[in-house]
Amino acid sequence: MSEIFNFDDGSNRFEVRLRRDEQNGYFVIIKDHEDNEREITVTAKVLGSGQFQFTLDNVIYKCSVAKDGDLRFIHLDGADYEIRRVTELEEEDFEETEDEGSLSSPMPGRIVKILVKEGDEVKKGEDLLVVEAMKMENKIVSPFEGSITEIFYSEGDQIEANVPLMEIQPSEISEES
Amino acid sequence: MFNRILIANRGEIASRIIAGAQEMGIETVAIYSEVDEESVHVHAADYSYPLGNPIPSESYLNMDKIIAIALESKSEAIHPGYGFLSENAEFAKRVQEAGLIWIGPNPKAIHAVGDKIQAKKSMKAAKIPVIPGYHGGSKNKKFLKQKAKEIGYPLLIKATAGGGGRGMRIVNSEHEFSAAYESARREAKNAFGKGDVFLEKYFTHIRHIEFQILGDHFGNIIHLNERECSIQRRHQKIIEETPSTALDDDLRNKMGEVAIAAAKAVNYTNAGSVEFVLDDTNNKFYFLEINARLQVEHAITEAVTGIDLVRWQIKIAAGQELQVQQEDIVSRGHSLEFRIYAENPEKQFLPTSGKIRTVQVPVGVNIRNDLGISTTGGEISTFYDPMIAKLIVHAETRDDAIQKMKWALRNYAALGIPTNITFLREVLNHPDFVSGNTHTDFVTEHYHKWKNGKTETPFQVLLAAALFEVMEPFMSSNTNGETASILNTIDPHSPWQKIGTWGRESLDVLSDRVSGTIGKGKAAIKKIIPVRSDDIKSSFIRDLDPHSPWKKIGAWEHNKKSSRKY
Repeated sequence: MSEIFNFDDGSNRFEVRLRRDEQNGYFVIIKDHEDNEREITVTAKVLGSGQFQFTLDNVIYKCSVAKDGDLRFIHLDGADYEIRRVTELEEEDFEETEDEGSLSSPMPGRIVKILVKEGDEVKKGEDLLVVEAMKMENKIVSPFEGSITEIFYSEGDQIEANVPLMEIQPSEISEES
Repeated sequence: MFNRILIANRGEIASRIIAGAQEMGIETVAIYSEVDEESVHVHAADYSYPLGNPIPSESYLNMDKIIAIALESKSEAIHPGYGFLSENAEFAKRVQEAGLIWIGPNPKAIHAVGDKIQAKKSMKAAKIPVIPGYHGGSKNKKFLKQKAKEIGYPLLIKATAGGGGRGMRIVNSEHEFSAAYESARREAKNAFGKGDVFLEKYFTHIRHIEFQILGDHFGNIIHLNERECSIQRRHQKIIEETPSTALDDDLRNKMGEVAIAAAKAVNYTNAGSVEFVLDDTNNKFYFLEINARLQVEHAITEAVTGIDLVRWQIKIAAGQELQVQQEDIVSRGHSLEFRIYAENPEKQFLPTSGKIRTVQVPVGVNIRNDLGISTTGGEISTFYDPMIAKLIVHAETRDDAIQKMKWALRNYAALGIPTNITFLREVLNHPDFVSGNTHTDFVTEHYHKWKNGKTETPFQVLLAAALFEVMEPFMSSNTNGETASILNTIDPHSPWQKIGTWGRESLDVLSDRVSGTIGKGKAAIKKIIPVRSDDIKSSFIRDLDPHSPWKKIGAWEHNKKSSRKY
């Protein structure tokens, strides 16, 4: 019986089919988004927590993987990768619902200063607010030209990472970007 | 020598000091805030006391709490590490007033170098070259702007009480002055409690060279050669090396002598660093500041000189005379330190936080790992510095050291949140780094808007990801309790079946502490009766299956205790 896993590396989707052979061997088929298939026979061995090695055409790969939800952090052959495991359920309603006009905090911290107010017109790259994280002040700039429709926090507020800080209505010129 | 000392710090530096003290037969007391309860330094120490609220001012910066714990734990001395209270003259003084010994420079010297303006004046008086600037202490923005014009742009606004790049702004032209001034003042006030700033000429293409110094209470003072710390981002060092590629023996001796003169000008004692900027086009150098503490990058000096700086800090504080003389100091080979940070180099090196799931460090000849978190992972919290670890290598030549560092970084895995590891790997391959052409603008010049250049995901990565999914149940893991069903799948007759509970047992014992309070009112702190690591092990042994082979390790406890006497 084979198991199927889907991964997304940020630009492409992949499907990996894996069937256990006798002992520690696996027969694997990797299919990319253009349906190119690659067949592999591999043996693998657990080394420790999150660590394992696999042997492919006599080449030994030592690998570490850590997971956080559906994210997979992979250390392989001297480099690090981050990919996402995609479940089939997600695949159906894959449509991204990214909030185009809202500005999110890149890091957790505290809002020291808000340099704009609701209704302000801002240029791309203009300073919007100052967030203090790890005792350093970090300026957050406008990602595009537009007008500030709503500000969700006030000075002194503690914020989490990736929460919307303000709503910016993009002006028409920057729409294409 | 001391019997017991308290380490008023956390993470990697606390662990390093704890190990150093334990080697000398000194017992160690760790302190920890709520979020650090499971931190490496707590487990490394002989005793541990909670600080409660993780906010720095309530924990590692809280002088009352720390002194109360030092007295309560019968510590004889306090080592402050770096950062936090390490360069706080008032704290050093209060430690001494409480009848404890301060493992660091005398409070007068800390005060003399801590006020950057005062320090420059002392240096000028001692005929030590300082950077042109305005150190007059005025708070008048208009006046300062005029002074800025006289010094010329680009210039630096720096917090009088600053350090670590906080409260510091580069101003490229007059119209940027006001905003930069306000922002520097605000950041300085938040970080150091004082918003005072001074102005200095900003050199764009210079090297940052510092000399390690050691002074005792008998008037002996020596330097242990230089460290070059030119490669920085956000005004904080990320790569350090010794020796510097810019110094020959003549310049080294000259700068070393000036460093000693600078230290003598403020009657400096214990370990410290005299920082200079060096213009390598004409070999002119200027005094920048004295860091009155053990530096993050002290390990590279230890590597090339073979001298244990923490050991000397403790010996000097205990009243011993320096036994090494200037002529005994010989640097051998080349050492590099790369700092591993939880940060995103693609987003202006902004700090990241969250859970590191696994850390695997390279092990080999002359490779040193100073870790701030456990190899089974840990939390990088937003309360403290985002440095995860330091990787230090030592080899015969600079080329060998680079080669060793390349291998070490390739075999370094800190997974779970964005780190600077990939970035550091790239720096190692940069021709300017390889040739030693390193200046403080290295990162901005070569890596402005750096992007991780990975194009396609190799198929092996996808293979690894899929193998992980099927093999994960067979990997023992101690994070999040997503553990290890391997024990259930193996031979039921295996003796390993019996030790199934040990991980959990030991944790339960660790958290099983009794609470009470020290002090009254605002100064009251939650006290948890410390559990000796010996007690932990013995109670854990008690709780185990009576037939377990681990029962037999009682004798080991005994040995450990008796070894303390040496």
